[in-house]
Amino acid sequence: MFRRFVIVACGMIVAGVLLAAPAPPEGPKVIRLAPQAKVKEGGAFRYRLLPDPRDRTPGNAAPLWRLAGDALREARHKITEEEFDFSKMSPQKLPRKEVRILLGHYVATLHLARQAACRERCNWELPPLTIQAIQEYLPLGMLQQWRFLASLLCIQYRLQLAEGRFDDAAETLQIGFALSHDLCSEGMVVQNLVGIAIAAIMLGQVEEWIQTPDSPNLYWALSALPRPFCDVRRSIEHELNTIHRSYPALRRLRRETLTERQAEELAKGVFGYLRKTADENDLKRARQHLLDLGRSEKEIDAMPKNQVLLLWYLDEYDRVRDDILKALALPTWQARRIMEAAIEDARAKESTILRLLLPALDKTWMAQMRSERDFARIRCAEALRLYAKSHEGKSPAKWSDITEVPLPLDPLTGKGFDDFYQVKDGRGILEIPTPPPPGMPASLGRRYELAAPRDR
Amino acid sequence: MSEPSEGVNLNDLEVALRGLRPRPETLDREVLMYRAGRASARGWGWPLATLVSTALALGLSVALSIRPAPATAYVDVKSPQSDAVISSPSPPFTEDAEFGAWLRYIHLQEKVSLNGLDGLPPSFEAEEIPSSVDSLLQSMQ
Repeated sequence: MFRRFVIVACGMIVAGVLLAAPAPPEGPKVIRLAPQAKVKEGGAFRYRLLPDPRDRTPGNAAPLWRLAGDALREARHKITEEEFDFSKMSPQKLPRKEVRILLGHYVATLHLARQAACRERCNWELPPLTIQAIQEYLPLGMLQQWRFLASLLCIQYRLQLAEGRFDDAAETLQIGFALSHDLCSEGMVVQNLVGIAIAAIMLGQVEEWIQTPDSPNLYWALSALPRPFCDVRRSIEHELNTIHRSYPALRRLRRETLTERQAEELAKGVFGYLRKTADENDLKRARQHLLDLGRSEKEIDAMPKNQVLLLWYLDEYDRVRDDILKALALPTWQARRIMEAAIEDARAKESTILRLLLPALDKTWMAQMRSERDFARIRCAEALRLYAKSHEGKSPAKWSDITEVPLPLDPLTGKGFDDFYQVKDGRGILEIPTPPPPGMPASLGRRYELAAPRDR
Repeated sequence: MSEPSEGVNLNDLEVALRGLRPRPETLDREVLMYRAGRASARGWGWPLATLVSTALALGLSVALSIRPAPATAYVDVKSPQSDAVISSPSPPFTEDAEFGAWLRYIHLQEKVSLNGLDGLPPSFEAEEIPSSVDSLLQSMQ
């Protein structure tokens, strides 16, 4: 009896130690590159990730995207949690019959989405964003529907991949990438962020593709995409100009001397909205600022005090705004330093509106930066597969040995990905670390592994 | 009732029965009752539960003692001066629907930029209104 007790107790102790042991540190996601299709693929652009220009139709895609969202919302079948999980399931494990039944409920949605993707342009025709009117037309409901549409496309895509229908799978990817690109073409920052997230989901599907044996190579399909694919420049500039659109009189400040009443009303509007109370110190600093800019004492004394304050406030704001716009005009690896300096400068300022706007704008720009890098690294993976195909499955000894295609540059540095490549046990490994900012999950990094020829 | 057969001598039976003496008591009643009660309670349930709990406690104690110390996390704490933007605390904006809507939008942007698609609320009205500009700025640090 006692012996039994000792045995069981030891077993429990061991179990306790194992359960309490710290989980292994999270690392980059591992993608095992599959051998490419051996047959000729019918041209470099047989597979595209945006609709072929020959399939494009004239017109605006936005109404059709909205109709697709409406069709999704009004579909009789409400997707369950279990069905939602099909979008993340391995294609080999997908219950194909259930998936076909599910997709049958959304034929109209998918058809409309395909039509939208094939339109030549996309103009959301949203009214200009102002502080006074923000709640009138924020397309949150539609954004939620498009999020579901992206999941539906993933489900359809995985079924097509499981059945080896690469042509159909590529068409499904085209719809997803077109939606993402259109969401980033203009509009609000929130819309752009949803577009970037959908692009990331679609790139995840491309990673399934490149792990599927005998899958065609997508290097040129990826290279033909616009760069940056998710361009947030317009939406960030739009957001930064919100204060000017909300108070058009601000644009007259530098050219005219307002009356006391005009200045008071304008200040009441701007500072009232920002819940800011200006004091004598602010006025002194404002006067000094205008003197530094070259205005005379006489000129400043002729202005209402509120105008002096507003000019100072506006000049600070516009200076930071212009620094950010400079950064947005440059390639990412050149823009990073300028953008980081502009953000730090803005944080030190006392402009409430900048401190409110900038955190999200900064994160949006960083999201674009990560997205650019995601596209570049998948192109690298495809370049690696191309090399393996033309060298009987062997891995390059070094990254620069790949000459089949031009090698992508890292958008973060403007240099190649050479430092991230190594050969281990005959396997080519491209390990790209987590993108900035610090603190991002390690699983955002990627480790692309090319199997050794003996393992294929 | 049947009549006794002639061969049986009842008197002899009576004499024989009278000759029987009670045996001395060899069974202890108290012990018997004790053992009966103990036997009725015997089972594996409680002893097993005791065993398992004890072993688990021992196992977790060992695991706790050998667990590595948690990594030190460094948190940037800004000095109070750098936080001061407005000379007086901002009043809550319950009365100003437009401004509240704009700040709700700022808050929504922040959530979506941090959490991606999971940061999207079902509707704009479902998005919480920050209680003040200061609290919103604090939450975005």
